[in-house]
Amino acid sequence: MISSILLLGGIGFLAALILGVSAVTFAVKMDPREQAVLEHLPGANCGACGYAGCAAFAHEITTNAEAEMACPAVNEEALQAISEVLGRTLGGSAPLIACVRCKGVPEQTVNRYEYVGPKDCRAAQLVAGGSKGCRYGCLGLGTCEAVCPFAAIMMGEDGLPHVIESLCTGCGKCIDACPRSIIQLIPRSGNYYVGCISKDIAKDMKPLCKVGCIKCGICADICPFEAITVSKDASAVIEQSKCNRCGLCVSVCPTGIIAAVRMPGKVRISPEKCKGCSICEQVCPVEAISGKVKEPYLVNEGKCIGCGLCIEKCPADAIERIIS
Amino acid sequence: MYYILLIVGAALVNNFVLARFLGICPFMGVSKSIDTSVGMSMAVIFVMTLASFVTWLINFYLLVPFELQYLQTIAFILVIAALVQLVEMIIQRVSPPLYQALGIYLPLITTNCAVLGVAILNIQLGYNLLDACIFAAGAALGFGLALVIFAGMREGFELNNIPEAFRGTPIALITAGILSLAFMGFSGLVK
Repeated sequence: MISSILLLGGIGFLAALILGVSAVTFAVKMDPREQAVLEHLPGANCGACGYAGCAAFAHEITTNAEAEMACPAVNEEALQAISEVLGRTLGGSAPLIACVRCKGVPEQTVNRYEYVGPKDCRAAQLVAGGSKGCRYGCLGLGTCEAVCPFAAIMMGEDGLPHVIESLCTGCGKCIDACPRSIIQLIPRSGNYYVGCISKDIAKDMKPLCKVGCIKCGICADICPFEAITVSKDASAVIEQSKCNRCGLCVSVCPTGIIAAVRMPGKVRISPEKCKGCSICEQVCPVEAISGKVKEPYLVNEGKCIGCGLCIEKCPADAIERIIS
Repeated sequence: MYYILLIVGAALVNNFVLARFLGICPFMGVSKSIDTSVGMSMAVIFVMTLASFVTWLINFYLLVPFELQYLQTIAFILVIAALVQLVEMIIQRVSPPLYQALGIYLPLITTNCAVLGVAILNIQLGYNLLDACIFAAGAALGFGLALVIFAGMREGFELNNIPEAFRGTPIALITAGILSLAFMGFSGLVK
């Protein structure tokens, strides 16, 4: 009895002693900053930074003074915190968000055959190039939803994937997974995208999908910043660096496939500040502002597209966005 | 020749997973891809050999002289757990690449029944110290072999159209059973 207690206790004590001593002697000196950086990284180990997980990237950015912030999923708050930990300003890139460039819901499109294989777009794509009539359209089997490490993509009841803005970190996993390269990363700040990537000319596309880009070019013509290009064999593309988020293209698109990541808020004219100069009425591209000279002008919210042109032009700073 | 037979006997004939049914948990758990199963196998070989060495010493120099063999199980668990912790620390300091490769698998198998099983079998079968270490290495090799084979088969499942009711663990268990039957073919190879 006594001997067994002594023996087990002895072994336990000895083991604890050895472990305790070796924990000190063999302690790996880890940069405390590395741990701090790691805490601010998303921790999804998605690999979008190009390193083997968040820990590997934290090590790289801590040890290498030249390393840039390569994590696309880090938010602004965390970027700030990491910059503070490392004592240098990290530029990072503008936060991105994924957008799905297809609006072809099943009711508006035709299928070439009925697909009954595994529920995976990549597998479906292998069967004679996918069942959807349009060669560029979303197959709707939810591979992007399955690969998203942040659960930011959800297959909607309309059979198309929807990006949940608050969860998407712009890591780009879905882009690699989509066999048709429909998903694109664009800046988060309320930018617009064209919901179609079809290269078919309108005559070939129309029988397959009623909501594709018909290459009419109206959006390219109306865009005040020349940010949109379109040709007869390529859907309209918005050059994000030129886009000023005026939203004119959304209002003119005949098929209604241009959408914003985050619709900008509509505007409101402060009656106290407005001097009734009528400049806003003149610049408004959608005739949403009306009123009499020298009296406060009014915004028709139903017409306002939140382009913000009037805000810039107002000499009295009387116009502001309504945050919705 | 004796040692070769010892290894073959431990690895194939009395395979730990498929004939003795020890270590089923990691066998089912980390056999989803070949990469992780290879990492796990390496860690098992390492830990089992080391644990056999230490537990044999504990048994014959502490338990037997004090006639405390009934404490075998708890003493072995204690020693193996402490040993793996120690080894993990040393590896992390001495060889970071090895730590990267074995790292997460080492603590996972600390108290695995295959590791404890080999320590107890060494005593039951009356092996001497060298025999015990070689037996443990052979057994671990067999464990690794079974694990990698099984992981290869499970990777194959991805491409198969399995009836819905069998998807996931059920088909894995059935496959493991058939694999076990296949390994029964080795019985009688040694002795």
